[in-house]
Amino acid sequence: MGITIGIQCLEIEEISICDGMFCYLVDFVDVKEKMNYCLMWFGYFPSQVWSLVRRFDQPQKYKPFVSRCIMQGDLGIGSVREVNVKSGLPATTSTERLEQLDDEEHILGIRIVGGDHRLRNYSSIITVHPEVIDGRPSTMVIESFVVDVPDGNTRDETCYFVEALIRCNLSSLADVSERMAVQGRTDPINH
Amino acid sequence: MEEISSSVAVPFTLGVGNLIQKESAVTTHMEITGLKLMANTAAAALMLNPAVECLKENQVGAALVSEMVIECESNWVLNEGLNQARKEDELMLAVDFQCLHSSSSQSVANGKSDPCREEAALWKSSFSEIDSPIIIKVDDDVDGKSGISKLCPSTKLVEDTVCFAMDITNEDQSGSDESDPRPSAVLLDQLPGENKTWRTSNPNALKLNSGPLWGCSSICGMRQEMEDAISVRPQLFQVSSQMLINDHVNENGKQSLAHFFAVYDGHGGLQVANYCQERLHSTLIEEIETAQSSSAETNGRDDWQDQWKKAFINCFQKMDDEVGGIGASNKGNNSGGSESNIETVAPETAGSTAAVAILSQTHIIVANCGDSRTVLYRGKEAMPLSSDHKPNREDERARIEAAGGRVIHWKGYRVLGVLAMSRSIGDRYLKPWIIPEPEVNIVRREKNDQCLILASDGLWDVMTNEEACEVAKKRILLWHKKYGDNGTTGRSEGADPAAQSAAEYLTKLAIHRGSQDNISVIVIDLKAQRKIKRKP
Repeated sequence: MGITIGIQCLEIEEISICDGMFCYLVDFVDVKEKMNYCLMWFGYFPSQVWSLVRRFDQPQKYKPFVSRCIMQGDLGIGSVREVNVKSGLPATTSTERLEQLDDEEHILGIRIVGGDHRLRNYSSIITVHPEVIDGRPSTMVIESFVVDVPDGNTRDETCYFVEALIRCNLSSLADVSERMAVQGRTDPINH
Repeated sequence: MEEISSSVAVPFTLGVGNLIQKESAVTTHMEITGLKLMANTAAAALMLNPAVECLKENQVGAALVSEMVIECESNWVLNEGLNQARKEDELMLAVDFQCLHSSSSQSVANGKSDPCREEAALWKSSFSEIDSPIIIKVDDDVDGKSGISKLCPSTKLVEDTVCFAMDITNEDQSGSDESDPRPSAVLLDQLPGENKTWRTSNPNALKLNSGPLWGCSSICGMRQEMEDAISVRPQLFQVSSQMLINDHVNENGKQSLAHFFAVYDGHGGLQVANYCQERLHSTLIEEIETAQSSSAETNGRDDWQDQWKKAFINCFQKMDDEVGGIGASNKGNNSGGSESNIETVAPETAGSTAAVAILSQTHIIVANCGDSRTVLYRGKEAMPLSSDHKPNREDERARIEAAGGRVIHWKGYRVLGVLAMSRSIGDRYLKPWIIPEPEVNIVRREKNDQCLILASDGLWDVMTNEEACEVAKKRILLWHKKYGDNGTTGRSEGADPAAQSAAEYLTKLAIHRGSQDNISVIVIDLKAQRKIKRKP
């Protein structure tokens, strides 16, 4: 995986977080692979960001829509988590399987295998990349996903919905990472 | 048929003898009550307990004596509900379920279907057990007529009052077993005084009833978390005549009491609803005072209704700013919440509806943001005073799309396919499409106003406006038939037991009909004042 070549940008938006810290929010479609991406740059060290992303058993640490997560079985490739979703959203539960976890390449792969949402065959890959911007260490996070278009909706609507949720998750990831950076705390990567 | 009549007849056969037996068996009675409470299902416990907490919560800061009165009152209401009306409640639930659920059902008077006939029979049985003077009163209420001649209290009514007082005394004694005897003594001293005042002095009786006759019920229901909040602030502030221009010029300079009621239905977390519960009413007072000041400066050129709208719009905007971390900082509120940001009251994905009603002597002023609702029962018509903010409402959809957002049908119409309402306080992540601007409606009160209902969509999703209003009115009348409305005239500081029973019944009925959300209901009886005035 890693950085994909041949990306076509559709929209660029700069968001200020605080003095000196910033992130870029980019929506684009890879013409070749027909996948969908959300991408965000953080102004923090990748180790802080990755330590949050990789916690398959605790998505509520940075995902604001998750109220609770219960693991079925031990932590490892193929393990399954049962996620309870907060009220107000068009779902209450989501069952998700860990497909890929690479601590060296910073890649997390998840597939949704159940729940009362309308996302069928949803699969996503999150990658975390160290960058240097204006001489400062920074982090780029890319979440790419594929999903079936449900009956009654268009592809456009489906992407719009999923991207809204991903964008909210990545924005929260930026906030939580910022607080960790300010506090000078990083969870250990290896358990 | 006979079984129904028998059940209905039971409560009305109680006499002095039964009360004496009750007194001698207080301990046994308490034990039996406890067993029944334990035997209740968890859902039933959830239904009943939050109501008590809600009552107590709304009296924070009240004097100890007032709190004791309220506690006795709420316990008494609940005990009566459990012991005497349990079977009847079940029957009523079944009847209401069939009758209200039928698409062909109409008013009880028509009696076109079997369930309706059963209900008519039920009411008939109730009436046949009541003395003539009460029947006359019932007719007045049902038909909405005002009595031509003033009714003098009969000997029977006085006896009813005595029985009612005895009931109160029994409850006090039961309650005092678990609390400090000193407050109980104070209570016992005051109760006879109140009765004497009521009997001998009409002006005092009227004064005692300046408070609104409200009841509320708020339950978790089928959701895992409780995110609703209710705020009841009787006599919250004085409204000057400039803010309620009447037809009578000679009333200039007068001020009248205004009462505050609100339902907040939170989502994505309880932080925003709780914050509104704590702060919205005081922020509103500030905005009203600002509006009155500016009105004085402009020499009253501003339209008084526009002043109310401005006050509410500014108030809701302030609440939205504050929960988003703009303006006042509230670090203390977030010390325990790991998901909350340091600078904000609530996470950016938490939000709440706000259905607010201001009740004054002459007007009802309603402000709404989101999909909770306020409904007025006027005569025999259920009038919605607020319009739900749903994303597929034409004007709301147009506003959202003009701002670059989208309304997507994803388990109902939702903003970005995510949120099922188009306005709320909070929900920072969905701005600018979600706005906190309320729609304000002002209606003048009328003689035939029956009651006012504020509720979250946990109720309205399973009940029409008409059904809720009819059920509330029935339960209020039922309560007065069973316990008499005379004895309650001196107890208007807390919840009114008749309105309370209506609110609790509505939440139970909503659960029965399959509501899948938190349910919060406020019922305000708008007619009792007139009943009382007819007596002098």
